[in-house]
Amino acid sequence: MALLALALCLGLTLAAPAGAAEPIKVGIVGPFTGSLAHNASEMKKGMMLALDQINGQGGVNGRPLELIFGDTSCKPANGVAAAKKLLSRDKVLVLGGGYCSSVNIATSEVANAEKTPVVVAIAISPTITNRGLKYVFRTSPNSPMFLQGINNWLAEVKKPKTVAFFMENSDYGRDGQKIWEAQCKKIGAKVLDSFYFEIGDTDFTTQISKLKQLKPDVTFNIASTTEAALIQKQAKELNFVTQWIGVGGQFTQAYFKMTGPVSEFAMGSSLEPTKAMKDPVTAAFVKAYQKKYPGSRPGIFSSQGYDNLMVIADALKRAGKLSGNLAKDRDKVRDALKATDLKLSQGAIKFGPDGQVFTVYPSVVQVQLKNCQPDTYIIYPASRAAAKYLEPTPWSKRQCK
Amino acid sequence: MESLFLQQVVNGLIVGSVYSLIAVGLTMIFGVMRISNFAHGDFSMVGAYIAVFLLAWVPGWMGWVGSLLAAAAGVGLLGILVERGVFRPLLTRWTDLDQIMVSIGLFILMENLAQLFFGATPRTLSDPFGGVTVNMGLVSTSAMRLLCFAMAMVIIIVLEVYLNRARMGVAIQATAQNRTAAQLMGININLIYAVTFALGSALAGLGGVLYGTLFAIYPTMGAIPTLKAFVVTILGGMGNIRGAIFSGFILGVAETLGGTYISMEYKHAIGFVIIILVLLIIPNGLFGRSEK
Amino acid sequence: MLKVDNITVAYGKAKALHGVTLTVEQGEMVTLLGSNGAGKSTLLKTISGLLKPRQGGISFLGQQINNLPPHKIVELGVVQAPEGREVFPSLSVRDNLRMGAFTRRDEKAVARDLQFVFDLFPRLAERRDQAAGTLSGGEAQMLAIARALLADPKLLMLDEPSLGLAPLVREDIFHVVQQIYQERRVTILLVEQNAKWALGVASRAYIMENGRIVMEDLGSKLAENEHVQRAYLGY
Repeated sequence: MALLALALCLGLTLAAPAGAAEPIKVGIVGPFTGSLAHNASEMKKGMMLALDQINGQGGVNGRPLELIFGDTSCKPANGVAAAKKLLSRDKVLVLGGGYCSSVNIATSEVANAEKTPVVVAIAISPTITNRGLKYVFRTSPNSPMFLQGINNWLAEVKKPKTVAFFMENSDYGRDGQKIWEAQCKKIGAKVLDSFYFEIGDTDFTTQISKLKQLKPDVTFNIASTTEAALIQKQAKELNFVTQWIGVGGQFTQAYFKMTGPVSEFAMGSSLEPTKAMKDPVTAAFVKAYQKKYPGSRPGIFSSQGYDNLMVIADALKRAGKLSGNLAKDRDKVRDALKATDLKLSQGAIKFGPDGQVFTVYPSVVQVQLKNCQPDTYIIYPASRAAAKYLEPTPWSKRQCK
Repeated sequence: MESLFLQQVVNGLIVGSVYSLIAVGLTMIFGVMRISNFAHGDFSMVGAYIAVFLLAWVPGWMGWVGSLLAAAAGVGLLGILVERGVFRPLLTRWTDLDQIMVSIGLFILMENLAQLFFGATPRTLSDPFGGVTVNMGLVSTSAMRLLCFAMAMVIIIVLEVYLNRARMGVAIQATAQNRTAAQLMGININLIYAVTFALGSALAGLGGVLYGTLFAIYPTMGAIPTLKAFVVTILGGMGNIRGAIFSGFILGVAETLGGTYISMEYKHAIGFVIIILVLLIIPNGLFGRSEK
Repeated sequence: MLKVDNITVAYGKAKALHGVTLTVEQGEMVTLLGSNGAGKSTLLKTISGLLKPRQGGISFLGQQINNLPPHKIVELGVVQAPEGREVFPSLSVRDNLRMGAFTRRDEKAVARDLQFVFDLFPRLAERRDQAAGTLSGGEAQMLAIARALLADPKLLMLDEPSLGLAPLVREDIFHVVQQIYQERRVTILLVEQNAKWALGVASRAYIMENGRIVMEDLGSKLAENEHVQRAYLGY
């Protein structure tokens, strides 16, 4: 482990040059050691799959791609050191990867100062792309965009007349509420009332009884697994029916074990590639991933890593033949990145003038039953949907126990 | 036609019945031994996990009823061991602070052991009624919630009868009211301590099964019952058993009605507001403190 | 019957009793006089086993009792009736009496004794279902004595039965104590502040000052002693 960490810090060269052509160097930063090492390795697995595919098809404009890794340990100081080394000593053309918002806020500033394009794979703080930095791009949605899929669905499909909020009393819950409230205003849905609960609460009957009187079409409920599951159970006990909408992170194995079929019709959003098998590009990614890593299932981070490197390779390709002048070539790549227009495992990728991808947003999932077993299925957007949206039915009409 | 008011009263009474049950055990132990057991809710957690394992082995009705009995016995036994091993050695030399620190240590230890042995994943008990709901016109609830309420009531009544009729039960009350006089009457107070701690813990265990049936079971679940039991105990007068019973229901209903008609955000604060008011106006609690 | 042999008792470092020796023979009524803080209650607590002597020993009917827990001492028949404030306030009069009989298994004998105390204290019979905390001072004192009687004592120790009572009520209590002594033939160790009465009824008496026994004699003799007259009888 220590040796591995050392190798990563030194910037281990992972791709052997194919043939005689000199490889194009791409720097990849990430927390390859520390508590997020597992997630970073998922990202790397996605990137290695992309690298195989790129170099397997002859590389970029006849030259193979070479990845040089730098470890950030999710600490801004380490991240800055790793980025500086990649930019000045390894002279990478472009910086990819990234994980942890605080680190990426710092590393993107370093790269921007060096006039090197940086493409952030995983980090959701809006700050990264809203400082007007000309060399910064991001392939991951930022935090407001995580709720964008649900917002679109509300506007296009559900069109609720009345909504209520039942939120975790935390930044997570309150920030989410602000975004949805703005959307409700836009689509003319009336907010009937807002309730909050504390993390760790178990009895929600008071709030649910009151919600039952209000009869909202949609009840927004940002909650983590345990609270979300208890709320579903108690809603049943109090005979309350609504369209529950959360963020989606609550839909874990433990959640379904606690709720059983009671969680039917609850909604959230998801970036899991395996949920979007209807999308041929995503399905191809999942298949290729499982071929390279037998027995494993690609998660969000693998898919985001894959897309990140694919975007970089595409821009390098469109940048054309490189001059050898590092500054000029980096500018060329930056310009090519701006014109990105791809379809990848997370969906379409186009950058706005701020460098933020605006076409990737989580798919909307709904809990549905197959043989009374609950699971999430994508219901929106139509291009990725695996199932149709189902309107919640009264408890008395539900068959599964 | 549904009534929000009645619905909230019913919600409050159901939760309140479990508050009462858990608080009675706490107040009994305090009344007799002057121990404020901050690990009391963790005894409930142990009871709930006994139910998890028993129900996995014997599902359905038999398992549920059996797990109540097993939780009472198992947690009661744990109570005897903890009283002998942890609290009794401190009995002669403790200050209040000693036993409070020890019980807080016990609470941390029990949570961590539970995490180690049972894992952090929350679990639920399967409902022997299969999730049947009861819609009675004005109010809705589930058969399981009603059963939990009824079971809490039965246990409370059995306890009341035991404490007021049985020789040992009356002796527990006598010891709580005047330890010295009890000794002068030939009551073996070490035996009373053991019985009281066992009984108080068994009540926590029973409450834990009901709490786990209503809500969920996880290693840190004991924190809320401990907190509520202390609120109820102070409200009812420290050591006052009947006070704790009534205050449990009062707290349950005050929380739901306060949440409905005052502010949902202050639902948890309501118990504390009542406590502060009670302590300011009637320092011995709504029902008076037990005598010393 | 009871032999207290040269015992020393201390609360922490402060000695409360310094080498106290006292005996009570079967059938006697012995009184222990002394001002507040002289150590009378400490002595009773030590005999009852609530306090343990540092030195010396206590025996009852030839058996060493100073190492026994309080409930074992009660089982042997040494029973203390504490002051009337020491009843169980939230329990009914009847339950208080029931607790007095806690160590006894013979239900018939207990029922007989219950009848005896109800005859002795008709007021308690009237208030049998009332909480003890609602009784008057005199009634509570009666209850404390009645409760001790239900333990079927061989040696009854009374701790200041007349303390804080109105003169008329005090007379009642005095009367009852004598009645118990005569009818039940129970040996009594009486701690009392009313020296005049105590010296009158007791066969023997001890005077205690500053944790020591300073005098011991027949009750009638002590009543004539000049020091006792000045200090306790108010002459």
